[in-house]
Amino acid sequence: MPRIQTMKKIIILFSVILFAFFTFNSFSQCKLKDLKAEYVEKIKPYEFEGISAGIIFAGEATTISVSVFRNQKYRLLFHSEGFDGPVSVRVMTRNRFVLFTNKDDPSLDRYTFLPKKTEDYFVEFTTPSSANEDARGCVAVILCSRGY
Amino acid sequence: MTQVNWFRFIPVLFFLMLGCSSNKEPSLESDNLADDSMRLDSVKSQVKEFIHIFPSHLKVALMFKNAGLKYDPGLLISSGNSSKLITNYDRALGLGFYGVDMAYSAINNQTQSSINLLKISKSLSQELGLESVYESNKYIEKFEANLNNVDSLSDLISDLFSESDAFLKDNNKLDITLLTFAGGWTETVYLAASLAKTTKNKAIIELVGDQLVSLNPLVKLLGENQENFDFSTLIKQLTEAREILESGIVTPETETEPMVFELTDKKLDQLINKLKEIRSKVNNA
Repeated sequence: MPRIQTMKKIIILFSVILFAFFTFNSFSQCKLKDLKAEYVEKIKPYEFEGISAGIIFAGEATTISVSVFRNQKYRLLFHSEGFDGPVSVRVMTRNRFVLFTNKDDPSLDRYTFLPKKTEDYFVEFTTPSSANEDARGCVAVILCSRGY
Repeated sequence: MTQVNWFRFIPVLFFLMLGCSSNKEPSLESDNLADDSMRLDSVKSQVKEFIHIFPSHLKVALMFKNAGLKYDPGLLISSGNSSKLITNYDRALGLGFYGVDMAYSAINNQTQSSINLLKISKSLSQELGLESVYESNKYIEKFEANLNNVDSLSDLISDLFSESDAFLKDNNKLDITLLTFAGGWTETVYLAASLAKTTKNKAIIELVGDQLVSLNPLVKLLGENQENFDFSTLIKQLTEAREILESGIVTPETETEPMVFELTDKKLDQLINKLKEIRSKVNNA
């Protein structure tokens, strides 16, 4: 009987390890090809224009820049995975004028806009802290446009 | 009989499993998992991979078309020279030129020219290790099946551009991505500036000025990614093109208003000649 219990524990532990392994791998890829495939339907009726993605540590911030043209309809989609809590997102101009923030509603994952001038926007991700100092995840920005 | 404590092997098993994931590129884990600093450095290095999102060449071509840019086959880069491009530097730059010419031809219903340019692009892409992008998506076959549908061709070209871009970035070939974008930017502005000179179309000239937005991040990224290539000549040429464009700013932009931009014939000539210099790497190969 003790032997059966031991085997049960091994199976449970093995399952936990397998889960952790696949969870780790699912975001550690953070591949643009996979992200593009994931979003290509979600962005409709907008059309895919560009993407940038990478891995950052929990509790850190990073900024991704994107060029936009005046009088064109754009939508930015924000992607994050692998973090313990909500990731805060801000879209700013070069002079740090905030155009979008998800501070009041962390579930907001997109910003739709029509720029008055051609310029670079800056998307800032701030990830939640974690007790595990090695914790990290994937963040990405997907730029799509409509009606050129 | 001695009973084996299987729990002892669980950490070993876990690390073996992590090791099995080493076919990822770039790898998140260093070979020595005990070496935290190496692992952290490995992950931190990926933070640098957040790359500026440049505008799609196809979308820019469509913007120019909507502004009144007409088709002039005489402006396209020589397609006969593609086989003479023997370095990856020239092939990547050429891929940018031919890619924009392909898009420009397709959106102007020049489907035969467009498919010829697609075949050239495929050949250059194969030399650059991008063959899987073409093979897995069957672009040539899909293109030939949609020759009478400009919208479908545009969608295919858009997909080809974004798949190629994702493939190169996912495989740490940022330098090739940048060269291709530089070629595409040069070709776009060359076509637009050449036609703006003959048509005096103000909307096209304004859009030429708007292309400045991509130049700063492009020149910066080229400067930061010269491990495999020497980009100094290209950076110098693009910087000179930027100076010519900046000389056309009549009123700088404000927080809310766009800049006012004009280019005299003389400045357009200067710009065209500078872009011809970059194109000559492929056009005169």
